[in-house]
Amino acid sequence: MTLMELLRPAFRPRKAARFDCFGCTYFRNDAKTIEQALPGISSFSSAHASVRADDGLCTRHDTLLNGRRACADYSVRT
Amino acid sequence: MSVDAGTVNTPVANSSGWRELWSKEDWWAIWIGLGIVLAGCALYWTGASLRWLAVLPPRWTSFSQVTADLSANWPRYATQFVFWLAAFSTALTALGYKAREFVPAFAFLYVAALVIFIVGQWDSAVYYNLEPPLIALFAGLVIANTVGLPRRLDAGFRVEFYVKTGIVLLGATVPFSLIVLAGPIAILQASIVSIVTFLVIFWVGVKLGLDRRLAATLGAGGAVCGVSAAIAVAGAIGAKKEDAPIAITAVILWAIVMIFALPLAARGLHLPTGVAGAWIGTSEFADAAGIAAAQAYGGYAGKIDGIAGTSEQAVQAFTLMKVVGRDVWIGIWAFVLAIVASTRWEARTAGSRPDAGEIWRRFPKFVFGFLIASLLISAVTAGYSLADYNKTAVPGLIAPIKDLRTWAFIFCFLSIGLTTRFKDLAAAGRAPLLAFSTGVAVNVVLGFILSVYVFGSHWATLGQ
Repeated sequence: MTLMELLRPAFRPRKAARFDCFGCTYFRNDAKTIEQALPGISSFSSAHASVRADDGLCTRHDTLLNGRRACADYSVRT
Repeated sequence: MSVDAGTVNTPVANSSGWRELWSKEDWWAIWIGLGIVLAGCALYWTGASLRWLAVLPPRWTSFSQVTADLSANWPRYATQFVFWLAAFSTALTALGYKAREFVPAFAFLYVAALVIFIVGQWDSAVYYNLEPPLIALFAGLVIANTVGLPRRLDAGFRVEFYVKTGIVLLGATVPFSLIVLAGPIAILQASIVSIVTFLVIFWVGVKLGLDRRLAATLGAGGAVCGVSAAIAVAGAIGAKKEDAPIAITAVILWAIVMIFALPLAARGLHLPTGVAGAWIGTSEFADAAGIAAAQAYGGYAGKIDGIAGTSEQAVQAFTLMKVVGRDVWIGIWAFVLAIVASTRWEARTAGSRPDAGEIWRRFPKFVFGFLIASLLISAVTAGYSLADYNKTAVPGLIAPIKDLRTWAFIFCFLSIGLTTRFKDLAAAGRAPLLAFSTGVAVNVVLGFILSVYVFGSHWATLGQ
């Protein structure tokens, strides 16, 4: 696989995911929750920093991930 | 710390787009920093200045000079306190903090900063290594790890917010031509060190049996911009929840060691301030930690025999190296690693592919504030001769902004200590610490060689 083949899909315009993490009951991305879950983060960074973008915690898979992702375990937030 | 699974519905929001302008501290640092710069320019045009607000304790040899200053200038200190309080509490309220928690915390911070400033202004302070950044950090660490302060006060100890505000103000003291001239060398040097450090940590980590996502999170923390890079990359590649805290622990431990070790080593070697600033910019792990080290070293200029250069050269070289050379690339690191993780490593969750918009969304936006502040002041002073610049622009416009910047940095240094509670940090484990420490060793040596031998003459004469 060439570098261009690897990168091409990432630059293709895409529709917003209908079932991304933002709407999922397992996803938490408010700054307070992030700062409590990642001890030490506020010593040299912050959950309010631009670099965190839309990352949050998935309580289903115990991962820190981009809120624009989607997965088969999506469960609508009520 | 556990997070309830699916039981508590805390608000979930997509912060990108226009919303980011008031929901991220990077933008609030820009609003406050550029607000000060614009106010400084407006006052300067009308023949006035921010000098009255930008009060600092004077240099002193006898304590009576301090008491005389405080009794003469207390209205200025009080006004400055109210100014910072209003600016920061507006921002932090917008970010979701309660003003009733921030106000007492900031009052404590301001008074402690004033005391530290006074100690640092003592004529003999430098001979006892009583540089304000080091005292602030040490005092904060002692308080946080002995008597401790109520956790609700953490609302006022916002390390990253204060350092970003300070860096935007720093832009006003760095000529834009200097950024254009020195930026490419900073990017070249920083890129060499970042790539090598990342590969070393990643390779050692994988060899020691670490998961590739953890190794990459550690690598980003050591190579790019410390804790911020670690959380950005961990999120981009979908790392396990415990991976980021491990990297955070490694970064904090080494960053604090380096705050003291790098200025000490540079002082022992009598490095010029610009060279030491470049080395610190290459080999420190976090903006706040590096600014503390660079400002401490800059404080030796003109006071320790054999250390050439100015205090500003240390901070400017550091900022060019760290902010322009390393921080701005975090989005690209996260994007590339997200592609590698989703195409080359095992898929952890099914889902959408990474998109190039990540580069923008993760861009540390406060850098725009730094650049705009530099452009603004460079435009205002464009027609000045060097004599006019030094005679009117420096005292009337630039020096007051620089002094307000120094306050923002002192708030930051104190906050580092006050929020670093060693017992709260996650246990990093031997293998992650070993991988990270190997990267640190390579980074420090390579950073030294590049800063001193390869680009030494460039950094030693920065801005001259």
